[in-house]
Amino acid sequence: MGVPFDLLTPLLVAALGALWSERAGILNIALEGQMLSGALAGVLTFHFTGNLTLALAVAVGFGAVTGLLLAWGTLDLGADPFIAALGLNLLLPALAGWVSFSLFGNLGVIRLTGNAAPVLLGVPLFLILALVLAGATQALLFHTPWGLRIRAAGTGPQLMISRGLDSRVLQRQALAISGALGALAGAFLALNLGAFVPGISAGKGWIALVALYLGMRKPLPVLAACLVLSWTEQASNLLQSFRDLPTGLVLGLPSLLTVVVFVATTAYRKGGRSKVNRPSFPVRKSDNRA
Amino acid sequence: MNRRTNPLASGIGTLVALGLALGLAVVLLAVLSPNPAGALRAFFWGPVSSGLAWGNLLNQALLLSLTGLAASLAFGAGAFNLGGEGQTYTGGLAALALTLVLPVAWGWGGILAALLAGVMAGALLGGLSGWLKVRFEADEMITTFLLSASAVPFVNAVMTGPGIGAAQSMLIQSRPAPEAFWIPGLLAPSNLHVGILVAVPIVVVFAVLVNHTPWGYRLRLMGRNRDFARYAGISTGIYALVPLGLSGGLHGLAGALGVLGTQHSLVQGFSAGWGWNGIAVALIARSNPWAVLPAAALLAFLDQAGRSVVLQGQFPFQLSALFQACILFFITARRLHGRPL
Amino acid sequence: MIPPLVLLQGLTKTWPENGVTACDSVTLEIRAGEVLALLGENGAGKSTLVGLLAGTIRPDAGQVVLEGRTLGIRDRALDCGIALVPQHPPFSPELALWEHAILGDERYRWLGPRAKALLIQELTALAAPWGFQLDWNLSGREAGPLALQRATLTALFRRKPRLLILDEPTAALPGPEAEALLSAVSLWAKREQTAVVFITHKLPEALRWADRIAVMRSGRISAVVTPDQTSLEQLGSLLFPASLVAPLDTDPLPPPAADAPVVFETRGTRADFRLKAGEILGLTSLRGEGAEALEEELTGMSPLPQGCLHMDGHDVTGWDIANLRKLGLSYVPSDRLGRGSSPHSQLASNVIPYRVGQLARRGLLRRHSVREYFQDLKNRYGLAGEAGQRLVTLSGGNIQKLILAREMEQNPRVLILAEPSWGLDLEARRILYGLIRASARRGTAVVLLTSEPLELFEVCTQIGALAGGQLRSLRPASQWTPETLGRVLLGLDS
Repeated sequence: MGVPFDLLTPLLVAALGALWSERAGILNIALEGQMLSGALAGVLTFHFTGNLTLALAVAVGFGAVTGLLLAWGTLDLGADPFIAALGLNLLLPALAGWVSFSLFGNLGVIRLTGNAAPVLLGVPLFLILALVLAGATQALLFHTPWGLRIRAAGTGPQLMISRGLDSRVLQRQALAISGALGALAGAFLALNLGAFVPGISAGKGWIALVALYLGMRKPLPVLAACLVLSWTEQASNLLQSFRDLPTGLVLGLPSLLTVVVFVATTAYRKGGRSKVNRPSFPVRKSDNRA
Repeated sequence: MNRRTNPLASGIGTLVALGLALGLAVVLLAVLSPNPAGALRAFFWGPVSSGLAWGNLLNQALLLSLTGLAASLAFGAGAFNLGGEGQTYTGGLAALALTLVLPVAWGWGGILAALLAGVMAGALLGGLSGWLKVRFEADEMITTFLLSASAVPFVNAVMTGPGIGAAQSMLIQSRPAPEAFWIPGLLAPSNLHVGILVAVPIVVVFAVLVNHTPWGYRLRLMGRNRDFARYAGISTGIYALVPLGLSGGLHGLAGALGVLGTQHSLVQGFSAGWGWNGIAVALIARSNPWAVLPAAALLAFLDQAGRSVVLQGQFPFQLSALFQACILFFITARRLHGRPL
Repeated sequence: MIPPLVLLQGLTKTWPENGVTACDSVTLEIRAGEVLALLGENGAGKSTLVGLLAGTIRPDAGQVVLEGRTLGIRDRALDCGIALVPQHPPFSPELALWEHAILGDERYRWLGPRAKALLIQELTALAAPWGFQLDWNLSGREAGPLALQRATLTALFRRKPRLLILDEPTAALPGPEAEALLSAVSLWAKREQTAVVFITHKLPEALRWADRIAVMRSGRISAVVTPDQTSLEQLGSLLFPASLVAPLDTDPLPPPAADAPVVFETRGTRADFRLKAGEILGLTSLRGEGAEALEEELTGMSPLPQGCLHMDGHDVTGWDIANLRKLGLSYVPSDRLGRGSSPHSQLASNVIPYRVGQLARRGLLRRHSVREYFQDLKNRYGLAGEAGQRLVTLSGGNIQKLILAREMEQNPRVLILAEPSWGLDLEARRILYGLIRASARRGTAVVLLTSEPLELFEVCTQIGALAGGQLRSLRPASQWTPETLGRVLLGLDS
């Protein structure tokens, strides 16, 4: 069982998208919808132009726009980021369905002709791009002033104000990047498959959040987490043909694992709760009054 | 991660969000549909144009009341239950599984037992998150979501497995429940059934409990100001765990009712989106159970209106999704109801 | 006449939440090359003034003029040259100290190992004159408050400010390091012709290092003196003037019998006391000197770090507030809106939390019973507002009255009040003290925690003064005067 490139690439890129937004302080829940719509954008562009670069560029551009939309709702309108992103997550698939229907008259699979997923020296191009993006994320977020400011913005407004800096611009940029990466992940997924299938993202946008927390919100561990998660998925795909192990358990394992990791890290961070003494005798109200 | 804001909107903000959603839909229909008049007619009239339409409308309104109440109970106590979908799904599975093992002679007793099983399954899931919150201070927003996400594939696996899986079927679904345990339908062939009517008394009971009892008072205090609740001697443990358990239980009930009343078997993915629906209702109702029924009715109408337009071939775009999206996007926007950012 | 480096003109700020005028038309000059010490009691307005200077708070009126230029709303204070180092600076648990220090002025486009080494070198050199060494690689979480304060000081100093404001810079520093810090900033101010303003309550420090000392009282600058014009005693009396508001209740409380039981006591703690029914104990300290923490510890909101707590003979050490309430404790917190009430709920909702069980008939809480209860309370305590009104619409004083009424209505054995008169005007205070005395007369043991020492003379039977985190002296109120109290609080006596 080698490295499951096809499963790893979109998950990694989406997880990077989650990372950019989370580090800036606004967790991007809309990744799932952005992946789906990015997949459609990429497939449609390739279908009509045959130009792979253009297809990826359109997906990235569209994703950035959705990220800016979320930024507008959150930063300018003051909406709750989680709920606004939920709204976006409902809108984008519907939008994708509409476009699909308007262009092809049905909501079915859109197949591509021609090779949309080139291979470079035996390694898929998309994977190379994904790894480059991971490296770029590490470099930009952790070794440039701009990245430092984004991370500072993510911890709350006070620190930034005390240094005379504006958080909002940076958060907007981070959300645009996050959306762009989410859409790109979707494009990678669909172009690699050679088709757009409704529901192609299949929860990967949520798994990307899982990968983010499993990977302690840093690019290299996130890469490792994505590897683990894609191996898990590959294993469950293989097992499905054997029918022996309940695949549901395997599929549900990542989320379950994340709960455990999340709870454990929370308990560690918040420290042991100080022991509260219970009275040694039963206390009734109004027993003691002056 | 940013500290969550209180998602309860003001009255004005709610109206603005609803108005925007509706306005956008009407504009889209008028501008982009080949037959604007027909489209608008299908939109506003479709959901009430026939017995079938009424049945589906009522069924959905009542289901949304349950999920909306579930979300409201959690919100009102200051907690986020994002696991509605999984809790519903698990509730459906529990109910169906029980019907497959109970003696058929039980009849209505069996139905009630199965519904109870659904409630308990959902309550366990929700309550688990509540316990994690009390014991480890783990954010319930994340744990409810993740537990739900892990429950869904589990249910998928079990429902197609030995003993439960369907023989031959177009849809991925389980074996049907024995007919003795089918809840009688209303306004056939719509989705409506007798069981779902229980949503109304349940909402009313909770409305009274939440608004007019000491228990409800303490619950609402938890949601309004948790520090004050603790200071006043309210057990923050119990009042964190119980609302989440109740919320999960109500979701489970919705799932059980859907399975026993409408489909009579567990169809894969039937609960998709039911969690977000409930949250949208709770946001419109501002977590007040009294407002859940009208809010659910409104949302159900909008949803069915959107579907009606699609069904009648007037407009392919899923307007229902647009409504929910608009509502969710704008309803918590503080700028829209004059509050500072 | 050289214009001053910074001129504060008529700065005024009233907090909408409680109607307190924290700064009342403050006008002050700060000259180039000088070190100015800002003294004042808690609530005098120092923090607000400093916030107005640094641009973190917007004034209702008045302006700040820096080197002849009036600062507008759009001007960022730090960019213009005014830097404020708070006592508890904001920080990120994850960023390292060196990242905190360069944030906003990073100077390198690529923060790789080389840049990091150079920056840490620069930071170390910058901090050296102040006599402290930091491990710049520590994360915000690991570093601890002292290191964070120092890192922030270095960070802001690096931006080459014209005016450096330090809020209690030596509060947590031992003697020699405090010396080093103050001497370094003093030299810097002289050399660069910049200015330093530091807030302190350590009078000897002010006398030693400041060129001028400004004293604030009730939102105004009550005096500006130079060290050679004044003395420790005079400063003490400026801070704690002898004039008092005459106690209005000239009927002294009857002292409890000698063999009366002790209702509330602490042993082995930083502040040991034994309180009987009908006594009113006032505990006070200057900011950060120990009184604030007592609020959490005596009420069960936080565990006692050491020692034990007894109530009515029972050992209640470590009990949570819920159980302490059942035993007869009531508590008026300093945080009225965050802890003491539900601000967006109705007035009626805010007064019934302990009564909901009793008010319900057959399990149901009827609205009119709740309103009747509120109305009854309103009549007996003179509360403002209607039952259905939201609490935030009331003034600070009226909110406090409501909270006090609610707590007193329980006829508690022990009543603990923390900062009860903060933000209240004279009339409201008069009523407050009257209610407290009435409660004591009914047999409640009262503990009053405050950082305004003078109010204790209005109402307490015993007064305890804390300094350096410990109770230094506990005597009957009649054995104190404002001067002697001030001296103990300032650490001049014990």
